[in-house]
Parts: sequence; C-alpha cells; structure tokens
Amino acid sequence: MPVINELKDLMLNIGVEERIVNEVGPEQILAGHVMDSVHYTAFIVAIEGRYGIRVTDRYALKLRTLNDFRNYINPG
Amino acid sequence: MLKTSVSNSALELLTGNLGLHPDKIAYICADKALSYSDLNKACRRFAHLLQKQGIVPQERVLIALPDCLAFPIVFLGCLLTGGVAVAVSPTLSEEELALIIDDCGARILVSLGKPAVPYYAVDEKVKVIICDDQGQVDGSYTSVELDTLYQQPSVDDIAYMLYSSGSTGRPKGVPHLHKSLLLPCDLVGKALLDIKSDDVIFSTSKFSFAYGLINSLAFPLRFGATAILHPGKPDPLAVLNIIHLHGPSIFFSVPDIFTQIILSCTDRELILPMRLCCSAGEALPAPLFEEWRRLTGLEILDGIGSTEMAYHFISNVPGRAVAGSAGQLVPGYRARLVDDYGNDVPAGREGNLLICGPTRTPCYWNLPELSAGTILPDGFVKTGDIFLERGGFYYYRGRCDDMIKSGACWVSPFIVEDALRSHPAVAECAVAVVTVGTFNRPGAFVVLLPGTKQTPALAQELMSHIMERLPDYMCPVRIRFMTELPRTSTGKIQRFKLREQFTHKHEE
Repeated sequence: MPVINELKDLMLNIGVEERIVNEVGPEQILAGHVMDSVHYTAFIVAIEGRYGIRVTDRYALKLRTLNDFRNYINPG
Repeated sequence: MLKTSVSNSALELLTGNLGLHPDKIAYICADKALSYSDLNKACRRFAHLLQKQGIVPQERVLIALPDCLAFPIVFLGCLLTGGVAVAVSPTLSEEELALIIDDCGARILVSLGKPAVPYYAVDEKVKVIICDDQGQVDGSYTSVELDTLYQQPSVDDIAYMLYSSGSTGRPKGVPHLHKSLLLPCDLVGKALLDIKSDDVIFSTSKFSFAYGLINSLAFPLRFGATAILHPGKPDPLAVLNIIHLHGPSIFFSVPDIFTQIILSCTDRELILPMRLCCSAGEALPAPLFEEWRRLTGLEILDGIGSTEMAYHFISNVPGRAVAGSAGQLVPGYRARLVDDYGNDVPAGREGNLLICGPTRTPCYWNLPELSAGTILPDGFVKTGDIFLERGGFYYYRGRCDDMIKSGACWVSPFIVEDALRSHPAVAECAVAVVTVGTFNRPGAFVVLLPGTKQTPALAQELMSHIMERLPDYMCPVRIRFMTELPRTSTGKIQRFKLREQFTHKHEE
C-alpha cells in the first residue's frame, strides 16, 4: 500500500504523533479520532503539495479515511 | 439631570421563570444540574458577596470562567449589583489577561479553582475571588434578603463587556447595555427561531463570545428553556456524545465543528434530536450546508452578527434557509452596502456592509478614535465585511480589511507576519486567508533573504518557528515561497491578490 504509507509519512510531517500514525488503519475515521481540524487542514495542504492536486470543499467533506484519500489521489 | 431607569436584565432573566417553573432545570453541565430557583438564589448570594467586596455600580468585574454552572451565577450576580461583567476566556495568556485588566480597570477577578498564573499573586490591585464550578466561594452560604438585592440601572448603564481581537492584536473592549441581553431574545430567539420553554439548547460557542453568551445565557433564561454547558474543547466526539446524552432541540455551532462532525461520521445518515441547527462565526459554505442536510435531513441556519452588535443582524430562518447565504436582514436592523467612499452601491453589486440596530455597542472602551471611525454619526457601524445582496439574501464576499476568521476566531495577519519576520531567513512576508476544503485558514507567502534556498525543510522550519510563538488557529496552514509580493504603487502589500491566487473557489 505505497500511497497509504506515503499518506502516513505526510501525517508524521505535519506533526501527528508517531504512535497514532503507526496504529491508524486505512479504514479508520480520521476526524476527531486521529486528527483535529488544525491537523486535518495541514494534511490536505500536504497532500495537495505532494500530489499536485486540489481538494475542493465539496470533496473535502467526503474524505474521512486514508482509503478515501488514496482513492481521491488515484481515482479508478 | 434625572436619568431614565430601565430593567436590570439579570432581574428580568431570573425572575420571569420563578413564578412559572422554579424547579425546572436551567442548566446542565456534565453530571450536575441547576434549577431556576437555585440559580436565582446563587446569583443573589454572589451579588451579596460582591457588595461585601465594596463593588459600586458600573465597576468592572473580570470573569474568567469556563462554560460551567458558575458562569451564569457570577455573570448575573454581577449584573444584579449594577457592576459590569467583563467575560473573558479562561484560556487567555497571562499577557492578554494583564492587558484586559489594565484596560477595563477591573479590581475584582473571578476565577475557577486554584490560580496558576504568577501575576495573581503579585498584582495587589486585583482581588481574586476563587469559586468552584457551581459558583460557590469557600463553600460558605450567606443568609441575605434575597428578594430586594438588585440595582436599578439607568438607560445608558453598561451591563457587560466582551473583548474582541483587532488588527494590532491588542484586544478591544466592546461594552453593551442591558437591552443587548434582552433584545436578541425577541428579535431572533422568538421572532425567527421560536424558542420555547421545552427547548434544550446546546451551544459549542463559549460564553466569552457574543454568540455563545446570548445562546447559552440569554436564550434559555428568557424562554424558560434548558441549556447544556460544556467546559471542554468542542471536538466532534465530545459534541456528539453530549448530543446523544442530552438530546438538545437547538444546536448552535460554527462551520468547523459541523465539518468535523460530518468527517467523523461513518454512517450514511446521522439521526440527531435537533429541530434547529444554527451556525455563525464564519460564512457557511454551500457544500457544507448540502452535505449536512444529506446526512441529517436538517438545515443549518447560517447567520452573521458581531460583538459590536451583540448578536445576529442577518440570519436565515427555519424552512427557508438558502445554502451559501448568511440569510436576510433581521427585522429591527437596517443595512447598507457602500463603496469605499460611503456611497450606496447599485443593486446586485458587492459593497462594504454597514449595520444599524438597537443592540449596537455605544463605543469601544477607551478607544475614542476607533469608535469614531467605526460607529458613524448616523448610528451605522462599519462591519468590515463585504457582502452582495440578491433577492433580500446576503452573500458573504470577504473582508475589506485584511483580518482573517480562522475557526471562528479573528487572526490578524500582522501578528503572524511579525512572528514570521523574526526568523533569520525571512526577508519579507504576507499572510492572507486561504481556503482548504471547507476551512478558512491563514496562509503565508514568504520572500527569503538573497541566497537562501527555498526547500521543504525550510518551510517546515518556518512552520515550527511560528508554532512556538502563536496559538494553533493563528498558524499558517501553508507556506508558499515567492520571489516578490504584490504591492501597490506606493508599496502597500495587496493581500487580496494573494487570496485570489491561492483560494479554491466553491463549485457553483
């Protein structure tokens, strides 16, 4: 799961605790459990920078798990 | 000259319920509850305690309490004496608290639990009253003539004061008359939201904000409803837990919290007990309105108010909310959209919003120049917001100054820029609002010293540098390196160009 691992690296880069990053599963809800709104926005910014994509507000509300982000980055 | 006297707002809010339902619960906080009867007694005991401290009418009392049962007791107790309740967040830094004490001239500070900040011990000018989370001081009760213990205010007596952040970072005091606690109940609570005594109200916005103060103090007491108080951080799990435990019928919150609740939800639908969901503090994006309605079946009623106007002056109404709009003018208020010269803009054009209404602050405390510049001679107040009006609905289009609303809190770009400029690699910088998903956050645009390489590691270092100096909500969510910043012919930074460059527009 290379993209999932890359996303976890980004989570570490934005300051999410390493223990939490190691434990988070691809289907685990991120908001409130893993990241607060400060980390969440930083995570989106990091993803946009890393993959050269834009996360619009409409889609941002549907990105709840690492799998959701992976599918948004690599659709299809 | 004899001044006309008016109702003491605390007395009106307290006594209205005593005859109807004295044993009804006014407030719930965690596993504790406070009836209307007990609230009344506790307020009067606290008022008596303040009088024993020598409080005189119009004297300021600083209240640095979380959202717990103690707050309404202390706040209303202060108002009963004719004192001015200055409500501030208990999480203020020592420096911010010292500034406010100095500015408002408070001689008394009410705090919860054991003081932890050094200045409490050394500043002998301030008497600190420590109460517990139920407003009790030293566990003692005083037997007083409770029924007659109140001060009849005059028409221009100040009842309370809140502090609002300004562009310089120095908080500014916004005083309000007694009517500012009561009128929003009529103009919004009754006329628009139809709040009744069987309502249970839960506001994630705290008492130290104008929005939270009216939601959790004025509305429940005016209508004999019950309010749920949460002293902690409003993270989505805690908020959902409270909603499931206490079943509020009216939920007041901010766009960030609604977003976080949506993101924390795994189910295709979310069954909630509320009949009304209301939002303020920042503009509610249309996609957020639509996703919340899809998930819960409920509208979010967006509205806009200000500390200066005490509560909402534009609001959506139940059953007629328009996604992406702040709503319609609240009856009782007047609005103008003007250009930079003060002329009304043509219909359908963006303009600077001016508001006039009965809940306006008389002035900024100790700031006559700012007061004169913001509160116009005709009574209209410059809100600093840019709006478009279409079909009677108002649509937010940004700020006419450079201030940023991040997580419903004001962020001055100048404060963040000062923090950035203190890093040795930074030649110049500008901070402007950027939109990330549904969140508005500060974004930083940095020009480095000649010869300094633009690297991800340096961006991270700058981020860490700021995070050591500023609270989370002020920290830029993104740092972008530039070769130069957009400027006017006279050298002034054009932050609006940075916003336009890097903000994702909503899908139409």
